[in-house]
Amino acid sequence: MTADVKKIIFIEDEKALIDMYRGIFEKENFVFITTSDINKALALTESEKPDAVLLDIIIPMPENTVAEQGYDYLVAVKNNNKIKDIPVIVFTNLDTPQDRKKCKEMGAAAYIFKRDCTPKEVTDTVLEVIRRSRG
Amino acid sequence: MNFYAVSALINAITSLSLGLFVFLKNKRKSANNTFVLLSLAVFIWSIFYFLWQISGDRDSALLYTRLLSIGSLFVPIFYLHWVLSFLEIKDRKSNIILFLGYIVSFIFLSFSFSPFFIKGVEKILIFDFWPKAGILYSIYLLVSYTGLVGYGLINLLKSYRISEGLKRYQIRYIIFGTVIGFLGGATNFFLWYDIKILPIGNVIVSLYVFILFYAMIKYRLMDIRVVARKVFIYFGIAAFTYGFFYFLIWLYGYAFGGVFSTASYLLGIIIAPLFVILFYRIDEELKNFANKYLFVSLYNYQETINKMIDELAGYIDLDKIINLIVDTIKKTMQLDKAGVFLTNAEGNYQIFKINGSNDVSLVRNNLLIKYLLKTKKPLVREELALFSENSITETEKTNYWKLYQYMVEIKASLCLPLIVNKKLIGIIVLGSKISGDPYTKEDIDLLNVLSKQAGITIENALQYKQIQEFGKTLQEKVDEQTKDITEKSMYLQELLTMKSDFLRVVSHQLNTPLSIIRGYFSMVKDGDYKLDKALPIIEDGLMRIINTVSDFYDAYKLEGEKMKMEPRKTDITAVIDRLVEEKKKLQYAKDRKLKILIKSPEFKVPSVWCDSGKITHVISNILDNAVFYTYKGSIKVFYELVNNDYLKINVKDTGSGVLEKDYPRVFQKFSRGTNASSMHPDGSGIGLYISKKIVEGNGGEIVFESKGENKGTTFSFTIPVYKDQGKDDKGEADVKENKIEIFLKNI
Repeated sequence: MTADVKKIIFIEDEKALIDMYRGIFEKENFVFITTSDINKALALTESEKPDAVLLDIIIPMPENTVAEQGYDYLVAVKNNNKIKDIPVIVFTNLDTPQDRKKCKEMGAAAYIFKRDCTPKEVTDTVLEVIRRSRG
Repeated sequence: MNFYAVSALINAITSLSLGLFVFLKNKRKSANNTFVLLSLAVFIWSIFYFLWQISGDRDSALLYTRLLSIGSLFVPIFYLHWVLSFLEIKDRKSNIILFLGYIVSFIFLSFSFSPFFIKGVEKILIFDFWPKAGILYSIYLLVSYTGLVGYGLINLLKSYRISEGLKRYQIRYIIFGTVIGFLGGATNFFLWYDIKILPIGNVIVSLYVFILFYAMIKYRLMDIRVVARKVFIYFGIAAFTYGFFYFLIWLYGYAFGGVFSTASYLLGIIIAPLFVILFYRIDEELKNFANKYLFVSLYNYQETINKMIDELAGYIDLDKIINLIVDTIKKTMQLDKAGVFLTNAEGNYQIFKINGSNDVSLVRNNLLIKYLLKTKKPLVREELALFSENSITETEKTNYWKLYQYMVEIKASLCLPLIVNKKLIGIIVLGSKISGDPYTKEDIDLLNVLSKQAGITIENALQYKQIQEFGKTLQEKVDEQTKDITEKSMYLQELLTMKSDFLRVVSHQLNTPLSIIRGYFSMVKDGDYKLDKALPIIEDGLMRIINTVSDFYDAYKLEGEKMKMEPRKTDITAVIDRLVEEKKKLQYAKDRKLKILIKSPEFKVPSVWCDSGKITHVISNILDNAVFYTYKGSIKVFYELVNNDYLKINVKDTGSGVLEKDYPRVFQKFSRGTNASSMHPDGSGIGLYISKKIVEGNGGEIVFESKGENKGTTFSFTIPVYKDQGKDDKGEADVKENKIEIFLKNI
């Protein structure tokens, strides 16, 4: 595998977005792994050691209740020595100062307000974060 | 006329006067009747004694001695009768003795003109005609003068020992008077039996009258004061009638030559009613005068109070009852003060109502309360002084004196206890009679009856009031909670209304651009529409959706917490210039060929002090509205200065205007003008609501002006001019958070 091949885990429940970003990231030479199950996501993060994670915050529970499971994942990653250095980029439609602050304090690598960003801006940010984390 | 004649005359006059007073006072009381009889007997004895002393011949002297004896032989039995009725002794033994005493007295009477009673008259010492005692006279001395009087005296002494208060003092004076009177009278008897001692004590018989008179005044014995008042009135009326009569006779004689002339008869027709009217007036005046200056007791106030006592039972309202008591007593008895004190939670007695001068609001004298509870009787201040004087033990003396002092302190002459079930629920406090008279025994008896009835009535009223108040508090509590529930339910209703408004607007706001996007999208997909033409329309739709969501998010933030303003020095013209350029590119503006321009100001527009990001939002919103609601014409922005303190920004359009009925709703949340939807169907109805909040948050105000439908609208708002309020602005502030933020520290 060349150094150029990067791996990303895309934690998201919205199929349209998953499909869109799969195409975009694969075009950028990413290995694109996705799930909407937080526990699976954690297992994958441990086994796959991705270069970055794009994390949605509001992910419904299996029984379909609205929950902010993204935060649970973030906490779990940052408390796990094996994976805590993997950059987690929060990718959400929440846009309150409180949420930003929370993400920053929990150790997120970046915060992207989903609604206002084009796919190009998203991939640029991911690449920037990966570059900085390697450097 | 010798000394003995004069002393007899004095005895006659005094005893007659006293008897008459008492007689007029109260004929219903047996003690008064028997006293009148006694006085009469003394009078008969004295008056014939006088006539005997001035008589010049033996025959008339003998006649007068026999007549005076008729008086003297009835004095003992009447005396005993009076004593027994005064002491209210009605036992069998006393009745038999009284009965026998009368029999004996009448037997003596039947022999009074016989030698068995008086043998004759002889000269002895200075007296030419002194009587000699017959056998029956000796029996009279033994049985009547010693026996009957002695029995009376024994009863007085017995009662004296067991009585208390006023009665005790009354008895004391009666005993005193008895001893003086009968001992003085007894000095006559020596000469009857040739013992050469002059009747020097005869003159002191009249002293008994003065002693009893004193007791009547001071201790209300026989209640003489009311009599004196009556005498005054009767005398006045009699004088008037008599005077009037003589005046008429004089007038007739002087004017018409006699009473029996025709003119006199005719004049009589006029004079008769005049007399009646005058008589009535004089009667009233005399009564008033007597009440005011002589004797305070109103003619028939006892009747009035008795009537009130009956009336009391019919009331349940505490205020009414107490007003009735206080007013009636004060008015009818002519007192300077009358009041009612009722027990409070602390066990003191708090003023409830007082009529007359007063500076006491609370009675908390334990001694007084205890005393009233113990005696359950009216407490008369003047009596307390006497009790104190006559107390045996020091403690008693001090206590009575303290009580007296306390009553002086609270300016009470009389305290009536209101006792129900052995509890002192209140005190009626009375001042003095305006005339300065003391209370009579009958006043006090009456007030005693009153206080008992009043106690029960007041207690009932208190309980009734308590129940009523309990009911009231309950009602209040229920009302309060009902109100609370109503308020909550109204608030909930409001929330529900808001929610449904919100949903309606949101669904409309979001669905409209969505349907546009969808429509063009499907046309492109089907090859019916060119993608490059559809894209701007789809983009426009997306922008609308984003704006709507932003608006609602702002509104949500405004509701949840106060929107925080971060003011800084701002060059507002730069903001407006940029915004105007932006608005010119809006599809509506282009389609309608609207002219959007800024009128260049005649003054240098100062910097302003505001949260520039939020104010930008306001200006943008106002400009948007102007564009949306103007079909054709222009939109002008112009500046004004208000007192150099505020900059006023005006946006004037030539659009649809605001209907008058919509005025109150312009700045309301989720509300839109009546004519708004047809022009700009996608308004959220929230922009101006937010704008108002922002302008006010920055210390300015926002208003609008419209001449009516299709006559355009001007929206204006003010913001404070920058005057060193804080730090300089570095330029146009970007308050919007970055859409992407990288936390370098976390990588």
